[in-house]
Amino acid sequence: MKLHKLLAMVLALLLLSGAVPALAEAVDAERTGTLRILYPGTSGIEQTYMEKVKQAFQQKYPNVAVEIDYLVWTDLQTKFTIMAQNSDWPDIVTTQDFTSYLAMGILEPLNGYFDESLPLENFSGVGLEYTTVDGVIYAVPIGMNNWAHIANAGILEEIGWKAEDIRSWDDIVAIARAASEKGYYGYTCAGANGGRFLFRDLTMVALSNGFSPDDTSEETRPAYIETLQLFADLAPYMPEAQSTWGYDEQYRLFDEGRVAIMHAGTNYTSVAAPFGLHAINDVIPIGFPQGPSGTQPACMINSTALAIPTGSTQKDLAWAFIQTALSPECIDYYIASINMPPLKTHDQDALIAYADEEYFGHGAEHRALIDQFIALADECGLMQPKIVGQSPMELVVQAAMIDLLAGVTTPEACYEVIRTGIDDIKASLE
Amino acid sequence: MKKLRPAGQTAGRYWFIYLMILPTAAYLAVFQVYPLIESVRLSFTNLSLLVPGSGKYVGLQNYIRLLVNDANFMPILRNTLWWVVCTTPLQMLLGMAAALLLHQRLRGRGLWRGLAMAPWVTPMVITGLMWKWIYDGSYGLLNYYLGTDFVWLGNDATLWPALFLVSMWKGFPYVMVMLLAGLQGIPADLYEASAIDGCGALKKFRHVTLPSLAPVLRVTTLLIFIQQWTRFELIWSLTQGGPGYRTSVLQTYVYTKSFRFYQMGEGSAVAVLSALMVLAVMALYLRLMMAPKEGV
Repeated sequence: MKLHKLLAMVLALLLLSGAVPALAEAVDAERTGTLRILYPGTSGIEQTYMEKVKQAFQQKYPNVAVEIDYLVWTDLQTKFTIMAQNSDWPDIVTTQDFTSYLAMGILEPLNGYFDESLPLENFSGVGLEYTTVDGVIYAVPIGMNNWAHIANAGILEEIGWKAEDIRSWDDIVAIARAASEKGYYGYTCAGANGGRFLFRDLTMVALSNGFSPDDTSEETRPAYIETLQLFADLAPYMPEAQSTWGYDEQYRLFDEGRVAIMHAGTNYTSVAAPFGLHAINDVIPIGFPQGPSGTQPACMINSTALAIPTGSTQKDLAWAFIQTALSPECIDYYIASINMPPLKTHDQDALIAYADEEYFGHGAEHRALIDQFIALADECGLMQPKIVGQSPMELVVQAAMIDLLAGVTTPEACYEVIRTGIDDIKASLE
Repeated sequence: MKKLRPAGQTAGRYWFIYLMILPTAAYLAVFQVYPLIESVRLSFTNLSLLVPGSGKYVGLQNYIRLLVNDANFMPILRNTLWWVVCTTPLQMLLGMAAALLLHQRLRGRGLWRGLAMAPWVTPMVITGLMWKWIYDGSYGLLNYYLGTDFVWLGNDATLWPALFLVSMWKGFPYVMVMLLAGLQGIPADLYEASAIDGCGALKKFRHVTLPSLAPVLRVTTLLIFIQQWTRFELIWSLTQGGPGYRTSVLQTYVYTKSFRFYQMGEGSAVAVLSALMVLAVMALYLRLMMAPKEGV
């Protein structure tokens, strides 16, 4: 009997000793360090998502501290640039427009990082395409943005229009005029924030007219002036205060049901949520109709993505964080609430549940809106032009278009200011 | 006659004092002197963060480009002069009025003095956000209470007055504190004597208060001038120098050139030009205002 007990104990010890290494592999407590992340916390949802990722990551790596800097996009770009110049490298930076970083050579190529835990094949092509240059992947998309235009269905109905009948720029001007006669604003642009949003607006309209706003060649001159003329035609139907607005004020105006058409993206619900989502059921995404020199209607696709700076000394940990960010329990929360999915498959039920939770019961409306943006992207989505030097070009365009929208300059004169400014920027990059 | 000691002996004798000021000197050297020298050095290079390998010496090219080819520089310089010339006297006037008022024997004078400091202690970013809300053309408090619909920060006619008002609100407490200290140093006998001579309030102010406050006024004016010339965060948090470049001043242009255009060389050149200008004005002011009077 005693021998049996002894043997049983030895066997139990042997089994336990075999189990201990397995437990150690599940939680790698040996990893230590501090991950520094630059992230745009421009909406509550985006911040909550990143906090979820941080929690999930720290369950795997409890000895790794995670410091997240929440910044608006323009400050994020400035901060990252300065940190890189001072060799004070963060470990992860969030990107949308990343061509400046590329020009500075401060983003790590990521092709070699993808493996079976985060395979390339899981990603929808468009999302990765935006963050890939010459076959090199520089950032991992966490969401795809569709920057389109949105129309207020209620206002359209009131003035006798339907979204499917908008086929030309003349239609846009006619709608703006008719809406204005009924006491609404016909169109609006966000003119502040260093020109970032105004440049985006110009880009979307320019794409529908067959050119990119950094193309100042003689061949595109007529199309460029046509595009600026459109803005001049719409200017009388825009709110004067928009020159001081960012997205918050612009989206608020739409949520209050006071503007017929404006540019917006798949971030609409997240930005408009604080104002009550009163117009969520009236939002119709539309591709900006084909311009006189264009060949198709257009909406613009880019990605919000996570990148690893070249100077990070913890690239493996940074990659582990990115993997966590794209794990189903984290990414589904993000995609439920903002932007289009970067991966091919998601749990649709979870998306609706998360969206309902975030948008106080308007989850179904939000998902329906995103589905419309997805359909629009399939129909007429064009990749956002990857423009080196876009940041300074935004200022040049803002300065010129503010005058155009105020009626103090002509489209031709505005074009000359833009052309000169953009050409100077391009020359300085050579 | 006292014997002069050799420098080595002096250093040996006062080594402890030098040791005590060493941290401050090190701080100044690292965070003031070095950045100044580096800025001047960068201003003679073509450093652009978007162009790897740039940073070569280009002489006065940046300065020439700014002064001759940059269509924005002169309007921005004019904005800067306009900003300084208007905001400095406005802050001085309001600060003087507040100091005179709070120098009186008022009930709750301590409380009023404390409350008057509130604008000065409010962080600049909070100030900017608050006033941006007040001034908004569609959702702002000012339009709400006035029943108007001005775009205060978007309309050329109201843009600068709106900024001046914020600057005045933010800066007057500092002037008030300086002048209050000066007022408290004026002997009461002077006022008594002037009263005996039949002076009313206005004459007392003109012939007693102002002359007595003159030294404080000269120094405070100079400090406010320099402060306003180097003002960045107030304008940036309200308008970011916009719409376009309408409210850009030299300090915001340094930021724009360096961190939006990534042209570090040109940004440094703007900073150096700005520093030279303010130094020149300061030197002239000191020469005119602070020179000893004849016969004294």
